[in-house]
Amino acid sequence: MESPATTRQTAQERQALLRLHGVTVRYPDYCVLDSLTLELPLGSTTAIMGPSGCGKTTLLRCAAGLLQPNSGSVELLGVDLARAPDRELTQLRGQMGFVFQHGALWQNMTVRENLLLPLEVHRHELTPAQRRRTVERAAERFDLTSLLHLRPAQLSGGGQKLVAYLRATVLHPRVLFLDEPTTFIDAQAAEVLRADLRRRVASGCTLVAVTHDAELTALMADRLVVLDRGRVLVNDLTEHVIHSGQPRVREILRDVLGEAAVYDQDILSLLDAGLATGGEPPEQNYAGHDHD
Amino acid sequence: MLGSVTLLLERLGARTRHLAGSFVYAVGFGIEVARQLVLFLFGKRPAFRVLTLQILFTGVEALAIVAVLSLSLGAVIIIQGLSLLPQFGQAELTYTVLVVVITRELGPILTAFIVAARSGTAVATELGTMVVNREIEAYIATGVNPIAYLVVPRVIGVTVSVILLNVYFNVFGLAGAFFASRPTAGVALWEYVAQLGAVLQVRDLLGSALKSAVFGVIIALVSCHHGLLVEQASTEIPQQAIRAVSRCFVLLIVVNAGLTLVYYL
Repeated sequence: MESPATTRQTAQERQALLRLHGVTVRYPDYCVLDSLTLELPLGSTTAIMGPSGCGKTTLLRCAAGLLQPNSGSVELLGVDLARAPDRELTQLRGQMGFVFQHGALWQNMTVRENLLLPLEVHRHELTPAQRRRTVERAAERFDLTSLLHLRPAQLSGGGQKLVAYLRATVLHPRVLFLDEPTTFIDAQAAEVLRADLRRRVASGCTLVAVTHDAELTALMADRLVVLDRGRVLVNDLTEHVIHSGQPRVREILRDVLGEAAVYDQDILSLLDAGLATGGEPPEQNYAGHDHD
Repeated sequence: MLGSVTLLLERLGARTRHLAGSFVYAVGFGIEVARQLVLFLFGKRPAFRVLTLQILFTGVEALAIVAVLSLSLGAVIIIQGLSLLPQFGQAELTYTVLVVVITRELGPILTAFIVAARSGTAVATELGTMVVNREIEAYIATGVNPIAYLVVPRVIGVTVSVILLNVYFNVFGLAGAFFASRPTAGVALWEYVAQLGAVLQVRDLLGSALKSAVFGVIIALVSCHHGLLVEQASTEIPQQAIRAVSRCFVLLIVVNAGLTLVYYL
């Protein structure tokens, strides 16, 4: 018979968002993730940081089941990604979103079709008209309605990134993976994105982001995971990591976030600033900036 | 001496391992495509649009080149037949030769070559580009099976297109033969049709269609397989496209020989 403590422990374990155990990703000439073990709780907002090439994006791809590791196991929302049947995996995909570093929009579709496909796959109960309306409402929030008929290649980098974000969030996922969500976009577009992330965090969405963006980290991260050479250096609450005495952790944070974030201002003051920043972002035209 | 032998054996072993791995991957890919094909045919068809676009590109857009090629070849074959075969006292074999060459052999293999060169490269390049741009991963992240959504419609689309292009090739090839025989040998339309009808058998048409279907599956599978073999760099895309087309050509010729052999057994 289980004791109350065991029952509590089991319930807590069930609440784990993500469990990676002994995950190794190896290419012929180098090892990207080296027997990495990591656990993140459901409802947390986590920023993954580390020097370039330390395996952040690979970790995110493994965590989301987009890359099969050479060895080790990955469990997302209690589902073993290597062993789950197709149907269970498809259902899991309906509860998660993934924002790729370069957008990864489907180039052979219009923006509208890019946004419609997740709804067609996971929202069978909606009529085609309802799906279209859902897409239009989502696009309105980001002032992208006028771009729905365009192809991704006709958008600016910032526009593509926002459409990618919109595609990942159109199903209102429980878990959102973000790979450098604010890179390659201008300050206004980044502010639009941060504002929406703020709303999602408030509504209980679990975020896991690879980012170099100090402001975004301050805004959302209650946990920091610092990677170094394919291994987890530290995985703890943000304030503990920031005040960590480990020289290598401080060195990485200084390199990634900038000296000011760690030494002069302290990331916790940025955290306060981030949470205090509210309001709707300014309007912006995202079509064809790159061709200006 | 011993060192170089060891090195040679190591390389041989590594190559064998690589080939075995590639073979197992290709077999697994084929099995997964077959499984998804069944689900596609008997289930929901969210990729119907992809299928339509594939038929449009592979079948419809190749009509002009197939027409020109088949008209010209039909004309050349009948002119050669009408001038050479009577010299050997075999004038009555002209239409048999025409049917054998156009319907049984050139129709299926040439349309397959045209499709491999046009659509095979396009499919491999498109899928390779999607891999590099992480579009394939975006499908997986969305819960869409890339084999079901991208490969299966292409297999069906390319196969249907090759079969239809073969029919088209036959019609235009035989028409080209008539247009050439009319001024050179004064063959009337009714006579041409009657002669053709006497030698053309249902077996020829079915054999031709079967060849086309097999060739279509080969082209689509090989092209999709090589497109999805691209891993990270855009420089891999043209390499895989070239490999896809050359492998298609080799397989088409070998399989064509095998099928022809089976036809006459």
